[in-house]
Amino acid sequence: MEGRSCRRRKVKTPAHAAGMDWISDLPDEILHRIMSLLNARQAVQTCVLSRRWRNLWRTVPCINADCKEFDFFGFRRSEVEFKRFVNRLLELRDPIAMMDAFWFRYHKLDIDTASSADANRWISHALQKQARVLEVVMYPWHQLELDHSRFTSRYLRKIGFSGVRLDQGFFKQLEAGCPALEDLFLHHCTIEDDKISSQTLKVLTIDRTYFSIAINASEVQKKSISAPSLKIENNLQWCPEFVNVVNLTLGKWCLDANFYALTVFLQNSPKLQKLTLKLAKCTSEIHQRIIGELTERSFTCEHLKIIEVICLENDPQVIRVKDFFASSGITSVQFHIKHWSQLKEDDNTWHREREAKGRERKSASRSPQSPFHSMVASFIREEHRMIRSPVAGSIPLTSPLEVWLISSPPTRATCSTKRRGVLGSHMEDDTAGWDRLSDLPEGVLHRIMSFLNMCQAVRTCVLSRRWRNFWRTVPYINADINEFDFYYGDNGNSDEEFRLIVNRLLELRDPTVVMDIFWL
Amino acid sequence: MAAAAAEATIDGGGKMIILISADGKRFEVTEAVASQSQLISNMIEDDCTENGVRLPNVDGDILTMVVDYCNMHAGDAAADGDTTKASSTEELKKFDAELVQALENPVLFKLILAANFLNIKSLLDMTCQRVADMMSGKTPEQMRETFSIENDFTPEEEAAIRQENAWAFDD
Repeated sequence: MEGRSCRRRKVKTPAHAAGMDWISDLPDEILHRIMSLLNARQAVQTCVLSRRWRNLWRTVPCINADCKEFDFFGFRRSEVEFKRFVNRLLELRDPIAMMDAFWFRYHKLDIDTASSADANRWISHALQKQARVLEVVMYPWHQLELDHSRFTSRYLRKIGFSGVRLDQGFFKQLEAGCPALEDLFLHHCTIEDDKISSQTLKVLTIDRTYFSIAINASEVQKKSISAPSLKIENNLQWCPEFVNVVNLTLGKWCLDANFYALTVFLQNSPKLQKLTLKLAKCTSEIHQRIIGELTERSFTCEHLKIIEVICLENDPQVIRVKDFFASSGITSVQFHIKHWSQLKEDDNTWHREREAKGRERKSASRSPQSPFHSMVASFIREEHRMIRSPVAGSIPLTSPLEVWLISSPPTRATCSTKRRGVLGSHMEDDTAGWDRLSDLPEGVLHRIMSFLNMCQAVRTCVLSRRWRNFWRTVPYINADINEFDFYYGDNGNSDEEFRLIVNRLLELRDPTVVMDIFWL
Repeated sequence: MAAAAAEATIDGGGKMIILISADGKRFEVTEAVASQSQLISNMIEDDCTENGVRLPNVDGDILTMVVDYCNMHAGDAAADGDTTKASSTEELKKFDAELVQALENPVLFKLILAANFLNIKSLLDMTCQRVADMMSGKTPEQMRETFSIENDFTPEEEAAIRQENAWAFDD
């Protein structure tokens, strides 16, 4: 009691020369704008500042709810507390206040669908409040099982998902239920639909996303996408049809197997005007990951005007690319060659791009600690914090199976070293020498191991008794020949070795365990 | 400010507009520079800038900063400007960062109000972000201190509010 009145007196004699309360005089509208940039928990806490602030939080139009704000409860409880927080927040907001943007990030420890119910309810709530922007980031434990039936909104303009499973019918629902949707960003998602089409999308970005159907089907289904601008950054394994694509960005993998993927894209993108190719960032990344033959290799892209190639200096691939287009009769295009070194900032390309976009665009939901991009960036960091330490070397592999279009995700490897500095500060609160990793529940460890390459995952068996048989039951397998070459050089032996190892692995896995994703 | 106005004349094309601050200072800027303000842009469309634009709630000092900012960013809006200064995004970033870092309490809030009134979205975003940065990671007590907010709750009231919103406070 006395302590409190002391504090009040102290505030009245301000520390600054300019000791006037300017902020409280700002109109509600501006305070809302400022509070929209704060984390939700902090925004609510402003209610005790003074009478002026008492109820401001109830009408803030942008909500940035982050499970990280509840980390001090400990790993398991933070999820519970976070859910409680968001439920209360949505319940106690002013019921007539609309919402502009809703962003949330958390981790879900249970595998069952019921634990996605809260998040699905929040999404419904936001859409009912006419939110224009919806962004969901899941930590890489279990994916959020989205309930697509909730996606009905005349206002929703932009969606960003990371770590979300899009069930069958999702895209159909979007097309029917969200007539204003222009921007769809998918990262680390799983797509169960076999057709993606939209009359309204202007930008569709698919980054490191799995198409679950193509994976266990031996016949690859035809997928069609229609959107004016499309970026596919790191992976895909389907035969695409791009009815309205005008701008297309592809990774280096599209040059594999004698430009197999690139040819497929060009054959199926009649309206293409600008093509951007992002080639390898380091010289060791030249491997064929695609096995595929095309009988018909010709294509006509009447509208193609500009081809931008981002590559290393002196990359021999550039000449191959030019030859490829010249021999295909495409002569009138302009080539713009850019070097990675000129794009210094371009390291983790996709979220940099998001950042730039966020700045230039009228998106109100960005706060310094909680924009979509940096969140995802930081969970990639977390991955490495847990994974890197126990396993020394790394050998991933590729496939004996027939695969359509696939790539390796180089960014995963680069961010571990680049982010060391940041990592350090994250780790401060960890008691040194305590094995927190092994204490994690099995589901979480599986999730973590799903991010390892196949060989790394297998090698964890020697860590301790606890780890002995874990690898046999990991639901995701990442087989990549790239790191395998580390040991065998570029002399072609790696292929043979790789096949051997994949065969062994599949043979020795626990026969009762179902496989979720098989990445080659 | 005179310098800023003079530079503005050099910047390519368009008619000049006179902006008049609350304390009677006059600023001459090109239409391209001024129309970064949605308010003024609308006035230009409606053809009512002939006799200068009076801005009764913006001080000369603040308007100087606003005009500087708009001159700096003129290249953004008028895409292919031959302005040498606006061409470098690096330089722009540096300019913005320095501007915003240098802002102290009263000036920062006056600038926010001016950006709001003139409806210059990028400037409003930038200044609001600055305030949010100043609030982030602070407890309510620290926020009160930073912004000299007077706690006008009685201790009982404050305790009750904290109790009521315990779900956002408990630690």
